[in-house]
This record gives sequence, C-alpha cells and structure tokens, in this order.
Amino acid sequence: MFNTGMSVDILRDCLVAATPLDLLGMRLLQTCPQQGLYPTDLPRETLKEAVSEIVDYTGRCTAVARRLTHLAPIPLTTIEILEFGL
Amino acid sequence: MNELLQTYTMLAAGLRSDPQFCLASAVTWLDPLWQDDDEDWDVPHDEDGTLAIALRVTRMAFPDIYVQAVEAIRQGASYAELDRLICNAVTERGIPLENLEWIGFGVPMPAYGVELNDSDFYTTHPEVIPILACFGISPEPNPYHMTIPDCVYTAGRTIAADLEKHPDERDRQISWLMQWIFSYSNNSSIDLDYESMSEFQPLSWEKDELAFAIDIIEEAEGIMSDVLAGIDFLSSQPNLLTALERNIQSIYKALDKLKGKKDEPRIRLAWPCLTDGIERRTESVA
Repeated sequence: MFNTGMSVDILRDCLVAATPLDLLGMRLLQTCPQQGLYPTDLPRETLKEAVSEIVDYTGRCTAVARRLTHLAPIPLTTIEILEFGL
Repeated sequence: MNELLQTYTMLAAGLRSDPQFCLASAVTWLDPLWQDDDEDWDVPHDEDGTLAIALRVTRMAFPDIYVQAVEAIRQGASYAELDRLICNAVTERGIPLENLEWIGFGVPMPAYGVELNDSDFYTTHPEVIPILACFGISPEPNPYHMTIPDCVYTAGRTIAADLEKHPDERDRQISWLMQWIFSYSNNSSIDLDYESMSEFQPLSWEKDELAFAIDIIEEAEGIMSDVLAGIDFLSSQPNLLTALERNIQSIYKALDKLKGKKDEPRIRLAWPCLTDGIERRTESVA
C-alpha cells in the first residue's frame, strides 16, 4: 500500500491471519459455569494472573493507540473510499 | 426461570460468545479502571481522589490488591473499609502503609534513624542511655542545648567497623547497634530519621523502584533485629560495657593525638572473649 506494493486486500488478509487474542480473563468468562455476568470464587492467583495480563494488554493497546494518533497524515490518492467522499 | 432472568442469562451468554464483547466484558470485570491514568475516575466514597490514586498504584504495583479493592467497591465497601483493606494488604507485602493518603507520594519508607541532638530520642529509647553514657553522652537538663561532639561519631564508627569483622554474631550485633546509633549503616531507613527522610524524593511505585524499596526495607528490618539483640546483649554484659567504655577512651586519646586532623585514628581495640572471658590487650598504634 502507498507505493510499497501493499494493497488494501493484502493488509486485510494480514489482519485476518493474525492469531486470535488469547487472554486468561476471556477464557475464564467463556468457561464460567455460573449464570451471572462474572465468575466468582476463583483462586486468588488465577485472578491475579488474569488481571496482570489484562492490565498489560490494555497498556499495550493504549500505547499503540497513542502512536497511531501521532502518525503523519498520508494522502490517499489512489484509493477510493466512497464512504468519506465529500 | 422467569423472563427477566432468562433475558439476563441470554445477555450474559451473548457477551461471552462474541469475541469483542467478551474482551470488553473481561476488561470491565478485571480492569474497570483501564482508561487513561489522567482521567478522573468515578470512585464512590472518594471525595479528594485519594482512593483513585490508591487504585492506580495498586493496579500498577499490586494487581491482586487491585482486584480485592475493586471487588470491595462493587460490594459497596465504605472508604474506611477500603483504606484498611489496601493499607493492610500493602503492608503485608513489606511496605509499611499506615494511611491511604500517603500512597500518592511514593513508597513510604520506615525511618528508624537516630538524632542524638534530639532530647526526645532519650525519652523514647531509655534502654540506650547506659550505652551512650560510655561515650560520655547523657540527656541534659536543658534539651535545647544538646550538642554531640564529632569525636563521639568517630568513636562510634571506629567501634562499629572493628566489631563488624568479628566472627561472633553477638559482636556483629553490637556493631549494627553502633551503626544505627551513629547513622553509619548506609541503609537509608536505618540512617535517616523521619524528618530527614521527608527531605528526599520518595521512591516511586514503578516496578524497579518498588523492588529496590522492598530490598531496603527488608535489610533495615534485619538490621533493626540485630540492633535490638545488640542492645539486649550489651546491656546484660557489664564487662562488655566496661570494655566498650575503655575502648572509647582509647579512641578519644588517639583523636587528641591527631590534634584535629581529619584522619581516622588507627587503634587496636580490645574486647572480652565472649566464650571464656579472656581479654586481649588494648594497643594503640597511632
């Protein structure tokens, strides 16, 4: 894309091919046998591990989002995005 | 199951089956304060933001305490209950946190330091008075005029350095006692009193600085344990106190001979043998 040989389709394929996120917190939720929203009575260490992982993950996401907001704008002269047509 | 409960169960199942909803649900459950640190968090019972700062610290440094606190907030815990919960849990991990209000300033450190010019020290530590008497120091009637001469600190350092090398643990405990009294241990918590400690920028809750703080505190606890053992042992051994006083006098004489030069006195000190009572001779080489 943008004169590097990467097209929107290739970029999409790359993103689709990314390994699904595997977070302990999500696994705990998905395997939760209770009827409530959140699991209860989990071992303290499991909970600690899940929280540390989520905190780390949200930190990385925040850092990436911050970096994206600081990217220099790139004029898209060869791509038509009708949704944003003015 | 009535329709309301069925709806609730269906929504919960929906949240879990969709990956994006599941992720959002997991973050809401485990890390409700995930948004930018600078934002104002709406934490109940927290009028001045202290609890919000405490949660931010625990989120970064003690995830398990963060979970406990979040659970407690969800169950409607009061500010006082959360204060106790977080302070007790942080203290259990080696950081003496008495009040949540201190958490925002950085890692609170214990300050065991001795200020010999402060008359309050003699009131709060009467057990040390007989030991300080060997140095010629005693609490004076007018506490505002207490000045400890430099030679006392030199004598204390010389004795601490000498006993530090002794194989007998009790001698080394007396060395720690001297290092505590004369602020010579190189451990900030041992050498600084509360007032002096307050003049330094506290260590932050960042991982490395927290680990460093815990190391300092653990070392200080070990030193203070030796200091207390040293006080007990020295106080129970009159012949050792006599030897201490004699060694101090030898150091004072050696310092007099130096006539104000800044060199440390080179002097061989004599201590009673702790096992058989045989005493080596004092020999000044300076």
